[in-house]
Amino acid sequence: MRSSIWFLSTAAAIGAMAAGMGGLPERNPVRTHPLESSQPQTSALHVIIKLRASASTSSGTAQVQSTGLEDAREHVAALARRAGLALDEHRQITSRLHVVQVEPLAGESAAATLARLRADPQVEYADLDQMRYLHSMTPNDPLYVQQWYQQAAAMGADATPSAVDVADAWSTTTGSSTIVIADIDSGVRSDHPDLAARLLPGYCFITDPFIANNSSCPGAGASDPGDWITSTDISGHSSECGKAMAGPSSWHGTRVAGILGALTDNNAGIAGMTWSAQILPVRALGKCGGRDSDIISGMLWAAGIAVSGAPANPNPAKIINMSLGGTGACTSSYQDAINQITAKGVLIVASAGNEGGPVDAPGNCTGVVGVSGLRQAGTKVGYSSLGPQVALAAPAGNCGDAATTPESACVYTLTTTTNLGYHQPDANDYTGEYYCDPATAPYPSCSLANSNQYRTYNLGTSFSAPIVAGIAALMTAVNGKLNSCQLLERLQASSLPFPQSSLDAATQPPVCHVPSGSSDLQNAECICTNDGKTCGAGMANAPAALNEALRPVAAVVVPSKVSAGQSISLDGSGSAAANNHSLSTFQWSSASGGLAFSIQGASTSKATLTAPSCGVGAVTFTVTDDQGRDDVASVIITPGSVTTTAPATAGQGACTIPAPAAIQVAVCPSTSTVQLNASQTLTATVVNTTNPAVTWSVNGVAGGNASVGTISSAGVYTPPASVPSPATVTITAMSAASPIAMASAQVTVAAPPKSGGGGGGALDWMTLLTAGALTLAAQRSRRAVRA
Amino acid sequence: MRQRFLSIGPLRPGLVSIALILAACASSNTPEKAGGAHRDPCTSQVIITFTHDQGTTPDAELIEQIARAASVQLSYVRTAGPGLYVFSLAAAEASCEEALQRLRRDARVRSVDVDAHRRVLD
Repeated sequence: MRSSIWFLSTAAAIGAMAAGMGGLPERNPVRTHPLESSQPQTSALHVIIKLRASASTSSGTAQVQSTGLEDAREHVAALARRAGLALDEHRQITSRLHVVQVEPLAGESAAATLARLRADPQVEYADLDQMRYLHSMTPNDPLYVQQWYQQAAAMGADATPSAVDVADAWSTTTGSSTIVIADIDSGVRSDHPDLAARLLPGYCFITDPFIANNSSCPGAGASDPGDWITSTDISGHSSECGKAMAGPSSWHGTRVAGILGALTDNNAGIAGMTWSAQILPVRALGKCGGRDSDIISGMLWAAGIAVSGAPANPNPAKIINMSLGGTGACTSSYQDAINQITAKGVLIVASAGNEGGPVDAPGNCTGVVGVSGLRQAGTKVGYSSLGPQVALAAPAGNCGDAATTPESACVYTLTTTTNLGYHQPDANDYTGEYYCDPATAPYPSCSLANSNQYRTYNLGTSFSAPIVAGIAALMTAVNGKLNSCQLLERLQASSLPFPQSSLDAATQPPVCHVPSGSSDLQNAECICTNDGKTCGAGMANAPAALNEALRPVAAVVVPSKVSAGQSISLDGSGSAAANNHSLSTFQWSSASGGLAFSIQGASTSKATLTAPSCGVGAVTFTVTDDQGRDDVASVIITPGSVTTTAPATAGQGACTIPAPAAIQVAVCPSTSTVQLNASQTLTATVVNTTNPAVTWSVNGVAGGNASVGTISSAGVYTPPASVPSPATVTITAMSAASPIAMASAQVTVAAPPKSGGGGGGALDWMTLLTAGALTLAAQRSRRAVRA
Repeated sequence: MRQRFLSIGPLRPGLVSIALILAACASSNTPEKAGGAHRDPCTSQVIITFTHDQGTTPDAELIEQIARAASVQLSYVRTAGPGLYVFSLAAAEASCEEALQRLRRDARVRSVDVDAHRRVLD
């Protein structure tokens, strides 16, 4: 209790300081010692003192570096005497660095004692030898010990490499109360004591009274009345329940909400991924599921977009969690809604699905962070769906091979909040507890003392998604400038590689593959590939994600129009550092492989350069913050365009998911004429790759031949022995890094003019004229293509 | 405009009935019906987006034209969000897939999706 009070008061003080500075209020619960208190010091002071290299002693000048230990002790003792302090202990770290324990004067504060020590001419500095604490938070929630997925990856026989180690991340931030996470689901038990204080007033979007289970939908409120299914429901509502089985209420939204952000360090229940974010329950599913149109309305409303018939959302979400889905491709209507939502900078996290097949919709939609499910061992849990649409993976829970009976221990369940009601709500509790079967103890007489009980295990990709959504909330808490695209990129960039073997299996499972179709199911454990095509970019990792989030955001404004030789201004002043940090340096430089630019203001936020007359080049813009963390943006410059995928301003809501930067090739000069007895050197520039090599061809023949001329690997074109027909040849440079990246130039071969005239002169001039005409024709043709 | 809109679609049961009866008669000699098995006309709830902005509610005349061109009945249900409109669809054929394809071929329609059912993923 004492530590809780201390923690709360410290957190409140830090929060007040943050608010005073105008930034987002952040709560950092890492314990700190009060610095140089002005209160009277009542116990011995531990002080680190560094003496100056040339220190004066009472006996005269001496070189401290050359003294032995006894001399050093004498120097420090003399210093204490001059300061009027009693020296209790002394320890030498280096010849000039000493640790002392001194008795302060009665009634004197530590700050005053330090000030007198620092005033001594022999002292370079004096600091308190403070207590420090491990950067790791262990909340006091009693069920936290079961939450293996939140803790550091265990090693050894019971290794849990897929654990996301959010405990480490909490030493940086436990989240921000200004961030709202929407939980689009079956509703949340608003009376759950481990959730209630985190819940915002939600809204129900269910338009079908049967699905809503006779609760007041559509309308305000999103508490879950239960979604149990009876055989009568199935027979009477085949369109909604055709594929469902009779069973108890799932309390699904309540379970997801607990993972997202149950009250933490409150001596009760479980810990949430984030300790501070607010949860916005949006009820769009009920009995037997929910309709796309209701789910889409809920998504849009959650993001703060107006929905007809619903009041404006006063608490728009920054992150939307969707632990739901259905088989099939992403529909146009989902993609339309998702585009509207991501354009506001809102991140959507969705489960991959539990069929072991292709990713469900909407987890397979562009711009959504689709999350696949992992066993504790870091392999894909059998039921998780998979495919190239998955962004990354997180624990989904698995019971291990021993869990073949309902009552056996399920070691790797994801413990969370739930309700014990079989049909209607009953006691709020946590998964892993028992619930009662109404066949033997019907509601409300159902009690935990009933002999016919079942454990409520918590498994599914439904719970992988809120783990990632929670990490994203922590990322947003340290860097409010990240839009949804940057959150997605940095979540992926910080993910850890998948292990390439299983800890559990006696024989190694197969490697996962991209599903060939809806019937290609991989329902057993498989090893995720590290190419991003099966289970995503890697395993979610909270501390690594925060490190990525803490990097600044490079932003660049480029001119909308440019022409060859024109001066171009590039403005990076919209860049920003993470919360409570500042930018230190800006650097513009030409990227290797492309054209080299002369850049004015290369070390400032705004740079100027000249558009090339031919070729392509890239300028790299690097911003670095006060901690040395950086972000890089690339600007591609051609004679007619300046483009970048960087935002114009950090924190700009709108974003588009950038496709991998395409390799671009340019050949210069684009048109030229060469005489038979001469050669023409062509230059290829390549950007967006570290491999600037190209292969040359003449009229489609690699390296050319005797009929059309040859070209060397250095780009030197040598015409054939006589003027080819046609006289203009096409010389193409193809990127060695990408066969689809290429550019061409036209070279017209002309016979040399003969001196002194002669019968052949007319023909030669005719050839030259023809060649010139062809060149012009080729130029016109290219212009027409551009037009 | 809204009043006029509301007077069509679901509020034209006579037209719907006649159309469905005629369609059923017309298709009564098709091979699918040869076995004598009765097949109900297709009905489905769909989400439609349009090429041009329709505002809060879609233009009634436009919907009528699109429905006639695709030989379907469209009844406006609600607006799910900006640009996303929910309709109930009825068509003479047993499977709605061909009706959906006809609607999708209309240049005034950007997309048509079945308002599918989703489930929680535990």
